[in-house]
Amino acid sequence: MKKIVKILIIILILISSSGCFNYKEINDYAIVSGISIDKDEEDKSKYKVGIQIMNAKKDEETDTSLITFYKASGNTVYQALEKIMLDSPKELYLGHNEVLVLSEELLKNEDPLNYLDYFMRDAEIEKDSLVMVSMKDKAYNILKVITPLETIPSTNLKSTLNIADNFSGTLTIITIDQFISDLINEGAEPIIPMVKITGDIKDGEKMDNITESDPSAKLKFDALAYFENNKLKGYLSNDESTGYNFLAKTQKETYINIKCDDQNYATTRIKDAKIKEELSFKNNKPYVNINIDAEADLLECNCSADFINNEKSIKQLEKKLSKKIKTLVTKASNKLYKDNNSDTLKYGKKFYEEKYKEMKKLGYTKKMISEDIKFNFKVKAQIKSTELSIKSIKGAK
Amino acid sequence: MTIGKDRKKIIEEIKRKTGNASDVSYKDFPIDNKIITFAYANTVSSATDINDFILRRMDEEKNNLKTKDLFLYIKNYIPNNSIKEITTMEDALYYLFNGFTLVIFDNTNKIIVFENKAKLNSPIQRSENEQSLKGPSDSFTENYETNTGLLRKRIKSENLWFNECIVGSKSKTKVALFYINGVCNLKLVNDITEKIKKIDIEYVGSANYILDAISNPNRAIFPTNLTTERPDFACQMLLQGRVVLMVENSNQVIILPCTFIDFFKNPDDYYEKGLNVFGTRIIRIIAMMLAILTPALYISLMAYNLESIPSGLLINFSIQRDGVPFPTVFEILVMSFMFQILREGDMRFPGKGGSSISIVGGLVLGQAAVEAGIVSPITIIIVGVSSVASLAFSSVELINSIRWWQLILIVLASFFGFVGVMFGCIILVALLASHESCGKPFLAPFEPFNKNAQKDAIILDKVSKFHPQNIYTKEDENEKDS
Repeated sequence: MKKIVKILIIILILISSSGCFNYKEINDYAIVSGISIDKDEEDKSKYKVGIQIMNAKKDEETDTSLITFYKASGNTVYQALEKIMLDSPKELYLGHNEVLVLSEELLKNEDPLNYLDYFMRDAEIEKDSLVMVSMKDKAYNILKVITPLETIPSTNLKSTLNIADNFSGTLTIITIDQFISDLINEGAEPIIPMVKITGDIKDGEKMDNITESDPSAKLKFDALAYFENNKLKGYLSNDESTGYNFLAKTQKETYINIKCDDQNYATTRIKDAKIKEELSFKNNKPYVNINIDAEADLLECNCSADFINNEKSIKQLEKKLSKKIKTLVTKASNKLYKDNNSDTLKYGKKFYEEKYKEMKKLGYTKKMISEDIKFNFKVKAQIKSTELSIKSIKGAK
Repeated sequence: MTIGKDRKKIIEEIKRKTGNASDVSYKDFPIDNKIITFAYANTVSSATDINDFILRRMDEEKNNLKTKDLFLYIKNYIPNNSIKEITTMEDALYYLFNGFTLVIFDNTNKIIVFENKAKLNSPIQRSENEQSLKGPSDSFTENYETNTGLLRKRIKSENLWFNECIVGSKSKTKVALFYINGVCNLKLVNDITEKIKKIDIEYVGSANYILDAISNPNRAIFPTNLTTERPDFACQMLLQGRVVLMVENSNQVIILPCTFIDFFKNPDDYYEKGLNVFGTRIIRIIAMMLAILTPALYISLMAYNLESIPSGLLINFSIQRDGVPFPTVFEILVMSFMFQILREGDMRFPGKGGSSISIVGGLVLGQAAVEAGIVSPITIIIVGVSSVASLAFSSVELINSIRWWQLILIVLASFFGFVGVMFGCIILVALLASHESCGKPFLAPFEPFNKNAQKDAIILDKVSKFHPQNIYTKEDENEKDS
């Protein structure tokens, strides 16, 4: 009798602590790979939610899966998803969602916190999905474009962004949970990558798009979109984006062009940049001293130079590179803090964490830091390697 | 029952007891006015030996014998290496069917027996079940004496001792317990000897009969003994302080006590480089885990924890399972079951039929089942991985016990997901840890930990090859002794 009771207790604990109740076969799920949110065109109080399903059906020829797209409107995100579920023969599975595309129109006019609650509340949904804004186009159109190399648009978006994040230096990635925490925090604003369709969306929806060698519709990441007061304010140019990435310490590998003589350019790759920030109050105003110590490789040099016999030529390049980096970061900081009031570098938060006492004394709130902040940059660039050549092919003059 | 003095009565008695067996011959040999009778069983004794060494000798000495004491002469001067005097009818019958010749006299209440065993055994052959690449390839035979010789040949020390008993009320099988005096714990030897003496069975078919009779019920399902047909491995184990149980007519010996890690050892390990042995043993351990865990983990991933699968793989799984009407658990169970049938068929089918079974099995059950949409390709892979991994061991009993644990974990996984698999693993480890082989911990030398014995556990150190270590700690021994 005692034994039976023990066994019953064990089974009870197992059932209650394990997931027996949500046993579901994998082919009963429609795996959602991308979600888009737009404002509904007719009813302005509703959101139009689009989802892309990646295991729609099997392509018998190539043995890969084909995608499909659903959209519906609702007052909440979940209501829209529920409507979609009524149309779809399978249950939606959001655990593998890869991207969240928001439309520019929506972000410019509304605080995203109005509709993002579901993404933090649901236990299943992937919190690592990447957030991006679609410029001009409706967000759901982005999810429709079929691209070569990666037939699933969401996976395409995600891997392109990840590659760009590692190698280009002009883009950066942000996940849903970071995005939301930046929105919630008063001393921080999010910055998200912008994606746009080049070409005609009508062509992009068709499978024919990928059979052409030069597809007529493509997805393109262009710039970073910055926020002010939780609303999208504008876009950073390429230079400003690079500068931003330096300041935000998010750059991994950056390519910088410098003009090495009157008409020719040289390209350097910055692999490792040490950035030191010193926060302080100068004249009762927030003041940030930034030291950038960049190490670069010379990838291309189209001017005449001889690095082994003429030490000056490499010093000159380094000087130019330092100057260039300084311009980039100055441009970025001016755009974000002087021209606008977009605290995407999270100085409000940083000052709150490090200089709380002074902040209190001077009566600053997290929000106010970005209005008065001043920057001072010190850049030191070093060229560590000139790859295989010790002089340029033009040789020394 | 003592035998009487009357020769004829003795013969009558033997005839009565053996049911007048036609293979027992009685040859009367008159000398002067006395008659002695030679009795032997044709089927188990060697006719040449009887003719050449007993009958011919008697014939030559016929005339000289008239004046001498027959009994003393025969006992002392007949050329034979194993002459015994016996006084009871039970002994007489035992020796008769053991290939001995009985010499029955008038007026003595003793019988003299000569050994004339026929060689009814296969010669020493190459080991088939535990093939050797580098080591000696001889294996134990069905002959008890040969087997003893194979051990003696390798360990010539006088310290190779053995206790012998006879088991089986009908079969009268010899069972010997080999150990190295001074290395093996005597209490262990005595314990096992006691147990063997208490065995009450009629027939001993092979060594496993003895094992079943002396071992306790086993809840972990894992085997708690090691059988081998390689004398070199048996010697290695003897030197580690184990006992080797040898049974007449059985070409396998049993090594007791045994530990869990012994199943990951191979006789050939001792002839290879330590580093390579370490690699192989790690692979065997991984194979064991794969064999037990793969189907269960797959089910819990697919049914409960989709988020743990990388998205690329998830899409593949999803489109491959598209159109399969059965639940994953069912698929796995069906395929595992089919594999077990194939394995059984392959093993039991006589002669060369095995290959046709594997062709039909491989093609029909693999390819065609997938194309017909009954199972998904990934299921075949999962079942294949776990089945192949389970075949990395030479012990059939181990493979069968792995099969049970596979099933237990599959059931737990299908109801409770990862939590169930974890629960099953904990139970498995707990059962293994509470397990004993001849009163010794099964998980030694890891639990209780014995630093010296680690040299022949997962790693194999040269030192342990040259000076084998007892796997059990001194404290462990003392604890058990007290």
